[in-house]
Amino acid sequence: VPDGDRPLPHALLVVDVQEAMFGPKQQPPVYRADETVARIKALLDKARSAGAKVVYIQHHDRKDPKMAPGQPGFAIRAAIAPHPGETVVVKRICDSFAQTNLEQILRESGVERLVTCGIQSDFCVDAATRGAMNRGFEVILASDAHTTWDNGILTAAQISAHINATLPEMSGVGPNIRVLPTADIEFAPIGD
Amino acid sequence: MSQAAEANRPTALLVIDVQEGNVRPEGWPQYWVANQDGLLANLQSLIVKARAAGSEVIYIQHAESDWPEMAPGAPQFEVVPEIAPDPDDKRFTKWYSDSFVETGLGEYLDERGHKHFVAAGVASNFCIDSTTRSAVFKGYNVTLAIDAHSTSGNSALTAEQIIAGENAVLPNLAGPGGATVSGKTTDEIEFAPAEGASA
Repeated sequence: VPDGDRPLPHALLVVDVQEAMFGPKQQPPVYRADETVARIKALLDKARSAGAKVVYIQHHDRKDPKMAPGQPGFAIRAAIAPHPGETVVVKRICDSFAQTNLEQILRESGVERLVTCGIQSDFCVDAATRGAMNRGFEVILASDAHTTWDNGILTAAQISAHINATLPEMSGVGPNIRVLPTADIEFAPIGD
Repeated sequence: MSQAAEANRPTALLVIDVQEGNVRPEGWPQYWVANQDGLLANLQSLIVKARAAGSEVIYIQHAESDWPEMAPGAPQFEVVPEIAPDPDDKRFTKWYSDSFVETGLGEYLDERGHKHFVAAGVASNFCIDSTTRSAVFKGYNVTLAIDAHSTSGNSALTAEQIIAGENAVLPNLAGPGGATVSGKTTDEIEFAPAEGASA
């Protein structure tokens, strides 16, 4: 099926775009932080105006005091803060589906196809994308709307490019993951 | 050795997808995994160490529904002879990258009391990555054999970069119940007997 003829996604999953990821004190901000946030904002605008479901994932890291509920670093990045009534799922494990009700929320909302984006490319974005595919969802990874840090072996740019190259080649319960730039992603209303 | 040290050791070795069609696919030299000799030598060492310790060696084989050469029974589906399973070894066939999806592997590990296993084989960024993530997120402890997995390069990275990248990333993962991933070389890995093993 040509990409333009594929059914559109019903949901946007924004993974771990929290203030602690943007510095300034204890770590440099994630690579291309402002550009990535701008693209996530564009995805949010498209999803909301289409009537798609928006779900934020927020990581609660027990080992990192900055990432505990109530701390400034735990908050979703202000520039893309959730609108009233939008769903926020708090997770404690990298995989957004592990020990959360994310799958139930998506199923009950009628979501079959979704877009993933956020931080970090090689941890929670990768895990959410693989996890959704293996639960039978059709997943699009927004190729230019996820980011990470250098890891000492690879640069952040290499890691993100590698994730974009690897995930479409994986096989899982759902259809193969597609990787598309923000500009090419459009949404459908839930139930469509 | 203290009981605590032994309790932290893996009781199983998962040999993932070390099949002809994955290691050295006929007609597709660009997909041959890197460092084949080193990979197979280290896998052989791990298998010998696991058996000597009374640990269980479990083979995973990948099948492709739209690729007849990789269907069960086809020559390319077979485990490479250098590390062929013993007749009594447990084998699982999987159809997806994640060894836990629709295979019964998790149920088997639980039945046999395996809470910690070694992951080795191919391909680093597909089935090794997916299986390791899936395991730790389910609460299993994983020792990643950092010198006993391999892959081929892609448009972004060389095989060596991908392998080093996985070795840098996967040991940072954590799961429920304190589950962790640790990266160790073949020489560093020590096994413990599986429950009920006579060793």
